[in-house]
Amino acid sequence: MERKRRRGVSTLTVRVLATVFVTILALQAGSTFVVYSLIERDLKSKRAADMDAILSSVVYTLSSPTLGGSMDVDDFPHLNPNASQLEGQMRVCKQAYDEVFPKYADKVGEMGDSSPLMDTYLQEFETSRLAHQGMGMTQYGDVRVLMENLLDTIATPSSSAYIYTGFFDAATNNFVVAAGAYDSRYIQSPAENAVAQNVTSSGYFFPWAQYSKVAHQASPEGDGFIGYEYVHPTKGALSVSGRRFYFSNDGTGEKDVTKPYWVFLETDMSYFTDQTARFSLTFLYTSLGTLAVLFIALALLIYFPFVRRINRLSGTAEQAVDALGQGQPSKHFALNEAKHPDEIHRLNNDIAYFEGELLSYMKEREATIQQEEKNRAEMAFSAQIQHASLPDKPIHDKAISIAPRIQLAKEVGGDLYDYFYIDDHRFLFLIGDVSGKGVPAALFMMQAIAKIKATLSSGKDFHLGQEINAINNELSAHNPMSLFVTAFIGVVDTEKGTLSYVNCGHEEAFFRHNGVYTMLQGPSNLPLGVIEGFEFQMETIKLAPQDSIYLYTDGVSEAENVEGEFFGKQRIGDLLNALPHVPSLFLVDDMMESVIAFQKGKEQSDDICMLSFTYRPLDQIVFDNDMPNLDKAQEFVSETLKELKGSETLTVVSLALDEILTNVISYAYGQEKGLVFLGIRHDKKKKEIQGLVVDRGVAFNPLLQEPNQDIANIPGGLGILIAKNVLTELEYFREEDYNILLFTKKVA
Amino acid sequence: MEINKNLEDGKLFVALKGRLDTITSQELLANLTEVDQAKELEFDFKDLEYISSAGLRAILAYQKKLGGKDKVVIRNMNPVVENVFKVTGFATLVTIA
Repeated sequence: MERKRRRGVSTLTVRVLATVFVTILALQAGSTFVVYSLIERDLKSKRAADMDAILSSVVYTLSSPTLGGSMDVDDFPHLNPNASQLEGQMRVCKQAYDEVFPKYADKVGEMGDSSPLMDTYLQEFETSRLAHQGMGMTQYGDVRVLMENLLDTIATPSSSAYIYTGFFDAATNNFVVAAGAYDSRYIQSPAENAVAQNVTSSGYFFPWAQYSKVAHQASPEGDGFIGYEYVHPTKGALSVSGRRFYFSNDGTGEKDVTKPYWVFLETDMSYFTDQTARFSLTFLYTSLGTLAVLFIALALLIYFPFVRRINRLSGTAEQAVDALGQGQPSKHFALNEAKHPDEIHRLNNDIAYFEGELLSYMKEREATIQQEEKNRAEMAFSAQIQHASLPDKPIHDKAISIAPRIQLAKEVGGDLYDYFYIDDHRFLFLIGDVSGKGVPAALFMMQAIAKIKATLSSGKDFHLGQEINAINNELSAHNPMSLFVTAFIGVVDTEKGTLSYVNCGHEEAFFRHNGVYTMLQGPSNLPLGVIEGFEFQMETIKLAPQDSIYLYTDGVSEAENVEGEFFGKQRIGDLLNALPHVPSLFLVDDMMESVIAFQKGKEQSDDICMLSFTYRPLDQIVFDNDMPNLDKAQEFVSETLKELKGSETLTVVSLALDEILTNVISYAYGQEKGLVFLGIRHDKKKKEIQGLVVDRGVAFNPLLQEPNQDIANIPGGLGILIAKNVLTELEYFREEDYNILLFTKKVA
Repeated sequence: MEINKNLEDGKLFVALKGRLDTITSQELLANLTEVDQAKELEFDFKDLEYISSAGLRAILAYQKKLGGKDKVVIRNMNPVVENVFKVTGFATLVTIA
């Protein structure tokens, strides 16, 4: 199994840190916002309190009959220490205002901070004020100075501050400045300067109605306090706090509450924003710093106790896998005997235990596999030995012809066969099937064959039945596993032309006589090896030339197809009878093909084994359909019929075969390769030559050609005509896939 | 198969020795180029052991080329070969001498 190996940044660390980072960022943003708001509010209220305090002291100063309070008279050398001076100025301003303003009442909208109309109004006001200001009264300028001094005493750390005192015009809600001062340190521009000048001008009025109030605190009665936060059209956000105060009536000490005067202290908001921003930034930097420290600490905390150790385990595992992959598994994990093991220690130890178990399991498995392979090899070897002892070459001579076919099942099976010449006139063949499979059956099989061979190849005359009895007794005696073998054993006497056979519980053989296969009936006996003392019955039949025996095991008759049908003995008989003229050599091939085709799709469960035996067969030659082989065939004919050398019979037969074989070679298989069988025999009894030509090509009956004038132009037609006319008999059969040409020629 | 041929005054004499079968017929057909200059053909089959249908066809081809039975004469056939000619009706296609 391929494993993706990734090196690089620690995933765990990254994930954790990313999560922490995002969380803290969120907290940071939230808290900064909260802090900012709180600070702002705090500062504002502090500011408001400050302003209030300042204003209170200002009011106190202004309304004090002797301008006492906390102020030192020496601070105001120009002043006559009499509050009524300020009051006098206030009254004068009021008078002037009441006189001048009504002329401008309807043009208030055009009178902005530095508008020409405002300038005109102020000049007129000033004129009026001076007119109303009597002799002996304090100069207005002195009052101004007072205001300035008051402003100086106020610590207003902001970019601009104004203090002005005056009164409200109840009719228009304008606030009229009687005297004012500004902190000149912070005037930045001519525009600001102009504004400052105006604000402190006597008679300048703030049309409160035009200002947008942002916050407003209701003023209580008595020494009222008004706090505004409003947006000035040009000055931006401002904070204005005001206090109401009263003068006493002519120094009696009692305040005239019908004539309220106000003092306003005005600063802009930059103070707040500066403070807040400064504080927030400090907060931000410190928290970021903390964050960074936290991060590093967290990274180390994740990396060392966790990631590194886990990576180490990973690395060891990779080494172990590599070793395994190279076929050299070995121990890589060691137990970690920590005093206080944590989860990683435990993981390490669990893996180490697992590895140990795995390695020992693999060793066991290795041993088991080796043992299994040994067993399998032994089995295969046994199978080879077993089947090496079976003869695989067909025998073909004048007296007999025999051809075996066997197809083994996957396991070591129990089918067996054998054939050999006992002596010059006796030939033995047998087929058998041992009960069971596997090594015991194979061993029993070999034992059985050995005994049969030993007993029956001595060369002496014997009675087959009695010999079989002896063999059976021996096999039954040394048979602790109660195995047995079915068998068909036959002995042919080629001189007498007889077959003696014993069927020991085996499938009935098929016997062909006069071209027809029938089941060979006869006494059925027990299989060999079942019980001692059993009397086996033998049967003897006469054989005519070309009589044939077909033997098989139940691997043939009990072959199963995918539909669960059995091949069956009926089918065997039918197939054999469909090929009465087909020689043994082709027959066994054909039968084997049929069985294999039949059981296609199903796994072969038993050995398939068969023998085809023919008595006094035709001499035969089998060759490929190449024209040069024609000569070989002719040589074969000459050789086989050499006693007829030079005779007209031989010439005629050669001529006929020449034509026939030329036809078959040229046309039977079209363009394909194929085999041609030629069998020939001199039947001295019948005084005739018998011949057989078999091919497995396209169905073609040459005898159907009509002889006519154009015969010379018909391929092969002429040849067959010749053959037909020179031979005694010429017959054609089609048997299954085979073309059969049978002929005879009487020997002259 | 041995072929002995001799062209004389437009008559081609051919003596064959051996067998005239499928393969040797091809040889004959390839060999007898002189037949183009001959008006008559005379075969001597004294040493011809055997003739197959391929041989017969070759003879027939010459017969057709030269224009008829009297243009092809065959001498000294052995009984088997003669029988073949008779049986196949080829005896009527050539002049047997």
